[in-house]
Amino acid sequence: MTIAFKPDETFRGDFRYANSPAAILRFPFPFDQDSYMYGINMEPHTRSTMGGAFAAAFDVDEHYVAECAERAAVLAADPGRCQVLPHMVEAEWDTLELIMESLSADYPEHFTLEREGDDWIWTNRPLSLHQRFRFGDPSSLPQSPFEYIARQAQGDFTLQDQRDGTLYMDGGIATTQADWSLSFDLGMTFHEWHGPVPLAHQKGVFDRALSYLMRVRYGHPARRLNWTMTVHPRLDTSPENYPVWGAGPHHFDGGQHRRDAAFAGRIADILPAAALERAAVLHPRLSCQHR
Amino acid sequence: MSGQDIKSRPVYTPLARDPAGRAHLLIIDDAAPPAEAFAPGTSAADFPETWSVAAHSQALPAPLAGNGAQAFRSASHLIAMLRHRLARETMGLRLYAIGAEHFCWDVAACASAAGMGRDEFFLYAAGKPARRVVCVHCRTLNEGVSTNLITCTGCHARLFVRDHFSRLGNAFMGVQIDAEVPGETIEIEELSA
Amino acid sequence: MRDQPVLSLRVAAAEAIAPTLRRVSLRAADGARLPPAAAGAHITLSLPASGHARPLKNAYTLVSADLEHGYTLIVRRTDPTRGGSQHIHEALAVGDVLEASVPHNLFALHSQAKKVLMIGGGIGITPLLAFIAALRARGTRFELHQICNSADLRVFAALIGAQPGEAVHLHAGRSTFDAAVVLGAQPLGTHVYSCGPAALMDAIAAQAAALGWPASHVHREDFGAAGGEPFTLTIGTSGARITVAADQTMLEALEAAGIDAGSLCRGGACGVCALPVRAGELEHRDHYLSADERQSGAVVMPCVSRARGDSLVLDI
Repeated sequence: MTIAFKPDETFRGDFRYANSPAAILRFPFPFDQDSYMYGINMEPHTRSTMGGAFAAAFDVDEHYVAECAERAAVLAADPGRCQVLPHMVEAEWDTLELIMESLSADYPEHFTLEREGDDWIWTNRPLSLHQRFRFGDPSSLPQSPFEYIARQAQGDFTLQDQRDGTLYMDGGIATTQADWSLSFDLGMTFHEWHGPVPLAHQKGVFDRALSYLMRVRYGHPARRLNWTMTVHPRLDTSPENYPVWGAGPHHFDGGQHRRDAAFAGRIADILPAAALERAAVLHPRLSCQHR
Repeated sequence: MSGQDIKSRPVYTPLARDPAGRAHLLIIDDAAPPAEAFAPGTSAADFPETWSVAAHSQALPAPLAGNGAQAFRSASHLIAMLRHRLARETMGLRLYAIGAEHFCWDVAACASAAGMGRDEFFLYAAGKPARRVVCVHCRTLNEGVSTNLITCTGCHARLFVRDHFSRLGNAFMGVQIDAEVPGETIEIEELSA
Repeated sequence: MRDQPVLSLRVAAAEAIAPTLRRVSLRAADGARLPPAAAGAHITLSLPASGHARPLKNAYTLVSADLEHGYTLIVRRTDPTRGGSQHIHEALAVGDVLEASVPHNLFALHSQAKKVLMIGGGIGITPLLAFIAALRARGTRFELHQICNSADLRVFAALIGAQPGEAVHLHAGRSTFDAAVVLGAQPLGTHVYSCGPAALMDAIAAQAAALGWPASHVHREDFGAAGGEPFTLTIGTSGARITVAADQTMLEALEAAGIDAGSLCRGGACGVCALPVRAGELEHRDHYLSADERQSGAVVMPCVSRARGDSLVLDI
């Protein structure tokens, strides 16, 4: 599947961004009800054979090139948006291997991985990258292995260390987050990290989600369609830059400003059909959990 | 805005000796602990080894000595000596800390750095709330915070103090209150302990 | 590694390293790269067994997983032989192709350990061999106590290949190993891993607790005690009756009867095969269910647990 990338899109300033009809058709709209509440919408990542956003392990769409450029811009202003604790170095290489294997298998016309033992050559044609490196040797890459590959994928990532009967968020990259700070939350347990999310703890959502995640098995990926809405196609809705983006129009709630909605990660609980027409962008945040 | 019910905010239970421990070290950031820091039936006397802070430059404690009472020159002096002590300890030790919240988590950081798990140390934050609040926008650490609204000493933003606590960073999070509507504010409240 | 629940593995090498120990190296049947596996991971092999219509599934710890040798296992021939090890010792040949699960790790090294203390009994050495390689690569301090028959001393010493300065101790039998002394002298931040007979692991856990070790620092790998008294299993929905033999697990008996319960570790650790129980007294042998769940008697892990009486009714 050849993708017609739109490298000139922007996610700040003049907000040059639009979805093609094909992009709207492949969008995994989760809006099958009139009201929404937190739930455990995790499920096995069964590949769709009909194309669409569920066909690949890591989805690449027409916004790929522009989103990678936006990520690079955020990291240039704040390198702390990507941090990994030292004991997660093996997880960094695992991430690189998983994403490179997946992208090259799912999109062979755009990505190629050649391997001779630990000598690897990675080609990313949409970003014009051609990198020889030695797997396991961080000095052979321009960034740490995790940052190197996460800069070439859409959406945010976290690295979780399973120990003491929970998951510790011991690394990640967050340049398109809905109001959570990687540098503040680094090293937290699953429950601490999700502490500020309202209502869901009382419903037992995180207990069950943690139990599900700790049983995700290698070779059996799971997915969760996690979405937020913004008026502008702004990806950097970070708490770090909240003073910058908070002043703009940013969410639908009948014109009322609700501070708690911003703090809550803005998983909208109100979505009248009319809002869809008004929406400049609906950006899905599809997170796949892998081992 | 009190009672935010955020799960990362530590909950402190009055201390008692962990019956599973082999050795016990009680640490206090003052000369003596408040009575409410202990569970019913427990007192400082139940802990065979106690470290406290004399707030005096001539204090001369023996941090590797073992059971008994030791008084340190300052909380910082105590923490520095605790690192040396833990590097020489064997499995089976339990640590207990009573004091200002950030002091308790400094002790916890020493314990974690020495490889102790969360089931090996017990904390009780005592005294008036005096939080360390990190401004999420400019990274400034604002010390001694006792209200839910402050002005960041670094970037001068009006910050709302969220009950979201980082054990690694030993700080609560401060987020600008009026980023959406300049000047918007809420009633200032004293933070609860 | 992409979603791929089942691997097809070809036997690349198989050799007897002792009269009762066989080392087997497995590679992908199609020559592709195998998924990586961290130290402590296991795979489940489907093995043909004489007298059984269906293949037996056995979980084996990976001694190593690398590009050069693929997955390496060391299998002990048990006495009386159960189907799996018998097949590996008597029939398995280079070139054979076996179906296997992808690696899964229920015995992972703790990332915060300042030191790792390993205590192995007999063939329980297998995950510890993988640990040693990982700890050497990480530069993490470790200490190993391996208890074995005197006949196995030399072959185990060769497998470990102790380097100068490493704290590696081989014990011919339990008598020269003093758990209280070893556990009583460990620096703060040590994690202990035991693997071997249940009695050894129970003794380590009890001694560690007595010396004040917190539960978070005490780890064990269970192969699960398989055997016991035979009993009759009744399937609640159909009324079908299945005999569970003395040398068979409930899970194996269900699979032999064509009921696929779904399983992963087959050692009472992962919780995947848990089944609802309608009636009957249980002997729980797993390390997964909570105390409340055991007490309720409403759920059982058929991979290791058994009926306490002569019958059990499952709510399936």
